[in-house]
Amino acid sequence: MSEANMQTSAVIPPVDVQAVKPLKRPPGPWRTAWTKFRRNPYAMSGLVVLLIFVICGAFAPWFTKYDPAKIDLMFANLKAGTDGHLLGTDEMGRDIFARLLYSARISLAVGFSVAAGSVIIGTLIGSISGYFGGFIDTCFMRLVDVMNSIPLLFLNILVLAIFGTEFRYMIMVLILTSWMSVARLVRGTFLQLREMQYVEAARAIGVSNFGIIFRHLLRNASFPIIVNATLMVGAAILSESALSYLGLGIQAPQTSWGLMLTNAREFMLVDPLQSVYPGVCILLVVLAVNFIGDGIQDSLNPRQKMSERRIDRWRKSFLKSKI
Amino acid sequence: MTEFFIRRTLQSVLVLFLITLVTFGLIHAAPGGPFQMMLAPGLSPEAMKVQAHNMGLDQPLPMQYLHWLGNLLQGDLGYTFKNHVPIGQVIWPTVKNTFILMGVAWLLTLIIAIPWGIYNSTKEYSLSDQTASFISYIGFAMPTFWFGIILQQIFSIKLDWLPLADMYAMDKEGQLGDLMMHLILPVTVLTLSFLAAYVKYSRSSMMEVLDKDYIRTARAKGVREGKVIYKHALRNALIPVITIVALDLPLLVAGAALTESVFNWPGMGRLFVQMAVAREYSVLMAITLLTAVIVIIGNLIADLLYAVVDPRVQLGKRGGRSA
Amino acid sequence: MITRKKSMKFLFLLSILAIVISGCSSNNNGNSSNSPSPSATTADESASPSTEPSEDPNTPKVGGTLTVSTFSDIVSVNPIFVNDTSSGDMQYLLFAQLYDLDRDGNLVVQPWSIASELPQISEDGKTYTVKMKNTAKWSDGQPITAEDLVFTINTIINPKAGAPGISLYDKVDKVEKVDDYTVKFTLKQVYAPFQYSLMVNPVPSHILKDVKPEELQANPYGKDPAKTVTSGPWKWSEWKTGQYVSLEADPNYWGEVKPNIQKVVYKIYADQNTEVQALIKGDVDTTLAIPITQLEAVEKNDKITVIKGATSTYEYISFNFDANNFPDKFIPFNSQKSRQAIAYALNRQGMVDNVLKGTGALMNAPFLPGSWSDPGDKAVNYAYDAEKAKALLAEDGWVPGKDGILEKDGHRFSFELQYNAGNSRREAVSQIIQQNLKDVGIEVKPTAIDFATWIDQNITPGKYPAILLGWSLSNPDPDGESIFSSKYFPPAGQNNGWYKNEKLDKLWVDGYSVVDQAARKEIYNQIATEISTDLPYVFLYQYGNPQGVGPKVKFAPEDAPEPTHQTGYFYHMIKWWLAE
Repeated sequence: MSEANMQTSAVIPPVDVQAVKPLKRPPGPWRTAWTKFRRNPYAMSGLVVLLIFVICGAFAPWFTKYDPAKIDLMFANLKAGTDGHLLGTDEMGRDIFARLLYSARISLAVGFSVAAGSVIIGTLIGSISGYFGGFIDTCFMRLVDVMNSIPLLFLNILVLAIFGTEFRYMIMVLILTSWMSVARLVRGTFLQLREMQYVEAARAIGVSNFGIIFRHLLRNASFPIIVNATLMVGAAILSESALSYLGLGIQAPQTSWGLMLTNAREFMLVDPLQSVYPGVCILLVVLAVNFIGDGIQDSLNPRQKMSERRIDRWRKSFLKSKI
Repeated sequence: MTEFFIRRTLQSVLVLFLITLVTFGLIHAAPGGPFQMMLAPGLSPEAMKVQAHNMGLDQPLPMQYLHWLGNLLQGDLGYTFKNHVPIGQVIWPTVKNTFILMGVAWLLTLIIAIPWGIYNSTKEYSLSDQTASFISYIGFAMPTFWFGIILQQIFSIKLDWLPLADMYAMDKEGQLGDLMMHLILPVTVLTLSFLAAYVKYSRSSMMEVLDKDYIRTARAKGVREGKVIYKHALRNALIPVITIVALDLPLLVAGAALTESVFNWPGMGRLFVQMAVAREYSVLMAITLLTAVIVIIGNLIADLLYAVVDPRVQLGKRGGRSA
Repeated sequence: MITRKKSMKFLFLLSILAIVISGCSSNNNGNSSNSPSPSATTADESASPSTEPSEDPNTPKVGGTLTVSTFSDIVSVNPIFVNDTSSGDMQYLLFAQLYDLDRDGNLVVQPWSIASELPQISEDGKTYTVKMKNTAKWSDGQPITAEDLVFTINTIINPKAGAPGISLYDKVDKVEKVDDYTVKFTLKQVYAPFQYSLMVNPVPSHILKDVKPEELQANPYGKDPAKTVTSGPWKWSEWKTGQYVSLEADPNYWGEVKPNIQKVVYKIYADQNTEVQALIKGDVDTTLAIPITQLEAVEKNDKITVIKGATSTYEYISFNFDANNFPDKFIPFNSQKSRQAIAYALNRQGMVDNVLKGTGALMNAPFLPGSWSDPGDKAVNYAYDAEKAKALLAEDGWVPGKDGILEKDGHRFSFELQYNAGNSRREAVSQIIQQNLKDVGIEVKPTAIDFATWIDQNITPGKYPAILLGWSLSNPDPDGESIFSSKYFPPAGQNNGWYKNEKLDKLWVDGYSVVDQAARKEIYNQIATEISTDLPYVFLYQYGNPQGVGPKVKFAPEDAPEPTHQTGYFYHMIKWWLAE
């Protein structure tokens, strides 16, 4: 696809030979990108919001004195603001604010670990496929086809229904159903790059296959991968909430926004606010990572505001886990 | 063209075959296998043996697989474990219902999205464009089921304007007006999810085309702007949109597990969720396979359509859709 | 929810006693059952409020459609294979039973029962003679005869058929037709609970007698409305898989009492929240089990009557006595004192008040409060007393370790408590248990496991340290041999915790070997004392599944739903009527 070419070519350092041993670099792609990124108000606000959530999640105990799983039936269904319960308590007397904070931990952990896992697996498969080509490539690409042909939400439901709803299974199945786009991307980059001169050069000076892969080639694909990863963070958080809604996601006493939303649904008629908080959190975080992803994309390739490919990827990663 | 078609078809068949292996393997990897799951405890060993034999579960796995595959090829999806009802009888009615829901949502999306996106392409950063952007971001980031629940609360419970769930009121089965009323809420939810991609897609596609040399030439030659857009640009801009449309076709059948569950819509997505809960693995296998077939056919059609509308596409070269 | 909404209602007619694991989630329909309970309570709670309006009090009206909501589809309504709550519900409406139960759980003959009089039990207690009405007819016009009954029982006890109810009849020696309307059952031994096994729904032998038993399950009978000949007030008109089952009053119904309601729609909701909202909105006339979490919202609505009586379902913690299930083969609660300490440490009343929101009652023994076998104060009641628990633990040799958790001989007092994922009630209770026991220095690690997996992997083979689970008694008999006697160790039996107590083993046998109720009560009182002292289970509470009834549904007080019965939400439904 044309888009692949455009994106990746934007990432390739202008002077290829320098990649082997640079003397003095012109401002690198990272720095240029960061400069542009900083000027993008959406991207920056996304970054700030995400950071706030990350900090809240990571240092949750500093922000609340309550244990999110602590049940105290004497203090159930308190109104917001009573007894230092910032947002009140739920039907089991758990502090809602504390649950939101600790949920940020789980939801973000799901988002980032799925993104990281998919990037690792996708990169591995994509680079092996792209570097070696031939039979190995064919095998992996058919695998990608297979994965892309099964409705992914169905596959998630199927696996969790069969093997049980454990946290690690959920992470695993989410990773196993979202590595394909990265693999395609990395493979595409590799196919182009391996023909290029500096790879030939590296080969000539006797750098090993693996050295070539990881030192020279990977670097060129890192930006699109990061952009892709931001999408997967958002998609994973949404998938988690969807699976929790279907009863196959996070299980108590753990807590996540998706689970809170599901619980709150039962009290929709009595206390609708309970379902608003986690819903808004999900919305904000997913918006934030999307803005960041867009920002990165823009900073790389300002002409292509919303590239087709990116929308396509959005569509793919989101629709399947959402509707 | 023929060669391309044949090759793509063969590829699709291979992928399908792999999918049958994956689904069958998954289900038989379940702890204890499917057999143990579906029999009530308390049955005498003899009764279990008889049942296992009746269901062909006492044969070795490869035999079971071949048997299942053979039946599939004859269009026999098998029987449900629990009550021995032909699976086709369970699935087919839901296909129609899903098709109605998704078809309406999808048509509505196209009707709104394509003109809007094209309009926005000439009015970058206008209020309309910003609104579209906003809706896209929200549409992507909002957990769909949450949105559905909120709509239900407002329009069905509080205001009592619209039906809460289901496809027909109990005594109005088959009445078009009643169906329409029931469609409004789920279609709204789905349209919001779809809309984002299509508006953005048609907008960016149009913009890309407007940026092309031949359009610039036309403009330079003094062709009226309206004519430039509608005569020269539109056709080319629609090509990628059509591809996406074709790629989305499978969604029309695969259904929306979450939306259908929230609105109790008797479609395939809801059926899948119900059957996952009931551990009717044979139905899950059938649905997964069926949707995979449709996805693959959809992809095939997308490729062919692309080839038809854009003769410049070099057939037979995968990923060769470069402009 | 899906899986929470994995909340399928599993109604497993189990083993001899037909005790039922009620694994269901929050949302579990009443896979309840019948157990005697004072009719006064339920009548008060249910019938008197808005369902019995003054304008039109005693004039039942013929006509209308009753919409009933549920959350899982039927499997098969063939009475031989009914094994889940939804199918059981439909079976109740579609088929006539040989005998019915009155509100107190006694076997009775109703105008709609097939039997014409109560069974005659021989002197030695081993022979039951059943006389049937000669007016009863199948929906195809054929008479219901002794032939049908004998065929039904013989099919159930034939292992080839794979009928789940097989264990109900394992004490039956033979079933014989005496004449066209009389059947004689001969038992191998005296077995007092057998009378309840006679609440059977016969199937038509003229339709099914040529089907091989092993092929019966695959037969369309029970799945195809057109091919399912029935015997009850309503006949089966339609089944849309996953959507609804609909029934129509049978114009040729044989009973003297005819149904008022002309059409019954049994509607399936994928999502329980939607189900409850549909009730509130009026799309549904009755919801069989409102999740406790939704109760408040429903009760706020003055159009809906909520029937909240306790059912015959009770919840317990079961300890496992097989050392192989523990790290280092050390069973922390092996001593009676430690188990009693656990019982004292638990705030059971708090659970009833806060988690069950008053829909349940404390239990101290496996006999339901209010039934004839209710032991009252013969069973030890462990009132919440953390200090006493600590004292008992100290006496037993437990000393606090570094982290505050008790230790003995180098072992920490720590164990895993399993429950089924998605059951919000058990989830809440398990967390309360964890908290309560932590307060006395015992560490509990609650683990949620998917229900079906749990049953297969842990419960049936008896592989768990401790579980939080419920039993639903499918009939009012107090016999509990199959879950507490060492004759019934896993995997064949239901004594999943490998509990062995020779005194109890003998008492259970004594309990069913006499027919006289007073004599039996004496024995069950002894059992109650012994079992509540030794505590193979910590009995927690009985709980209910509130039924919501919409404004259209009308019934006389004596025909109000009876929560203590299995399918008691349809109690005397033949006499209900609908107002517009």
